[in-house]
Amino acid sequence: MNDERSVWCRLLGVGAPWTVVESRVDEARRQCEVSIALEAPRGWFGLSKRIQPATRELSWRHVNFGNWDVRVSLMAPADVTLPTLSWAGEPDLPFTRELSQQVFAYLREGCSLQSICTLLRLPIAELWRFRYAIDNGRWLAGDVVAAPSPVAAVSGESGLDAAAGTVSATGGGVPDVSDPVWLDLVHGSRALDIRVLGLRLLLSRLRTQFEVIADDEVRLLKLQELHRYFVKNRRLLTHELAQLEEA
Amino acid sequence: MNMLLTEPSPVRPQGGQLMSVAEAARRIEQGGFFSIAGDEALLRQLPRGNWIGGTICYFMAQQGGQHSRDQVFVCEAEVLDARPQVRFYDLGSIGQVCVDAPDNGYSIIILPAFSAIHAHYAQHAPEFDDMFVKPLVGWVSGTEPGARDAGLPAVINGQTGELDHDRAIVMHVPLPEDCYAAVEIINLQRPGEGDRFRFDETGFSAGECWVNGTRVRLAEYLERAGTDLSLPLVADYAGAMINVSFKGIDQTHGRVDFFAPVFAGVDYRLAAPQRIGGAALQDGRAVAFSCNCILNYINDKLEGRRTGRFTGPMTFGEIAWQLLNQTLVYLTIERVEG
Repeated sequence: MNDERSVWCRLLGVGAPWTVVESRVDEARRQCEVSIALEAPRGWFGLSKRIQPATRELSWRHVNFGNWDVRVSLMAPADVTLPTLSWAGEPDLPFTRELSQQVFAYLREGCSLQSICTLLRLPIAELWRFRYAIDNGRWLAGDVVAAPSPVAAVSGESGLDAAAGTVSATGGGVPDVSDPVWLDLVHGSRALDIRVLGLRLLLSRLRTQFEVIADDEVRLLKLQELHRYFVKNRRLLTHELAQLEEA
Repeated sequence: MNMLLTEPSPVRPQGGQLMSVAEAARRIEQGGFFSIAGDEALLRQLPRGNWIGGTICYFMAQQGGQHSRDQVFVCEAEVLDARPQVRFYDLGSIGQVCVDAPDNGYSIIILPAFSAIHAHYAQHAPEFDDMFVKPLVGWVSGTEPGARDAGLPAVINGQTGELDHDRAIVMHVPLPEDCYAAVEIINLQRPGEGDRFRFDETGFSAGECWVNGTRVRLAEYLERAGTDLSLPLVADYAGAMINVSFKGIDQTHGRVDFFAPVFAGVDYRLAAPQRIGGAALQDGRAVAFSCNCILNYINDKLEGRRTGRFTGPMTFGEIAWQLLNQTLVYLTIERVEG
């Protein structure tokens, strides 16, 4: 293996049976494309390694390296299970797991899609695909080998309640985001007389999403959305907030 | 369903007025900010200024329901804080419409009917960034049904004079800290006690769906049941009744078409036929914007009749964040006490 491919293997964390077979650099656009393929086992006499013929090629945007945008292409035989490693992604999603995790962390911090696009130099259409997958329960925050989420790292616990308890944000008169009231509202187990149309529509959307989202981290993101809505619209929600206070 | 109703006597305009092109031009030239509805030829005659517009020729005027191709409906967006911003949105940028909205304020959007952005908005608006967090109201422009010279539904940026059939036009209106905007709807439709409908996919049409858990061909079901297609499907969104109106049954393709998308995973029921008085239409607050549905105008025979104190264009779709049908949408500006 030449030095360049070897360096990319180390930077991306690519190991056997996968290997970097090519890297292409576009200086003008500051873009790198790294191709990864399955390495055939050594020959009987251990003299050479061959690259297994690929029948499908997948491509994902990876985390940026400095000012360089990085794209990973994976060439794999059809019958080979795709690696669940940080440098790979799901076939129908635009990002590698590592970038997905990074984007998810920004979403958890309340960043808008446009801000994330600007910060990470991502096309909005790709970010939309990713958000759509999150909202429809097709992306699991836990399905990442590298780069564990800050919440999980801090709490060392699993489960939505434990994760929620590690986040703190409060708006005047609005229960803390860790309060179980948010989950109760989405589950419909907390009765609330709602007068505000926007809250009805948001809550209804969240309830539909919760039917298909199984991942605790993603559910937590949704609860944060609800909390942020209350903080932002607390002047409009006096009737609803009074009920939460009484309870 | 009966949308109101009161006797046609003049009211203090709530949500704008129908007026001559000359009067609208005079107001524009005085420098205010407006959303304007009218026939395309009339919108083209208006001077450049701070306004957005869309094509429509049915209105709930101050005198009552009215069809007009020689007057325009003008609704002023009162400037209480920084100057409102006007801009077009295309398919690539529409997802950011709420992000671009002022932190405190509201936005008015007009979409051209039957365009790709109309379809995209209808199906994906609930997923847009900051959706429901910032107030967003508006309507879908249209043309006169059956008119030979009707042209295409259009929107217009009054600041530049650009008329467009494919993009949405939006006015973002900031409010001072002691004010906030509230979006409300009046939908007199209520889900009936009958069958429950569920769809596998979000879309403007459906071949098959689930009725009480059994898979059926929707077109056959509706015809067999002799369903009155002037009554919409109604879904209960945590207490908000949201309609999806029937456009018709496409016999050739065995498909049912709708004026707004049905959403996957949402339970719908056919609306129950009912007659309701105008009590719901007596909101005493000052209305900064309102619009209503052309299907209500037609089905409820609103020509010459009023919908309480509400005025506005009778449109091809109403927007209270998401696209609605057969619903009155209005926006009020509230001032924080003390």
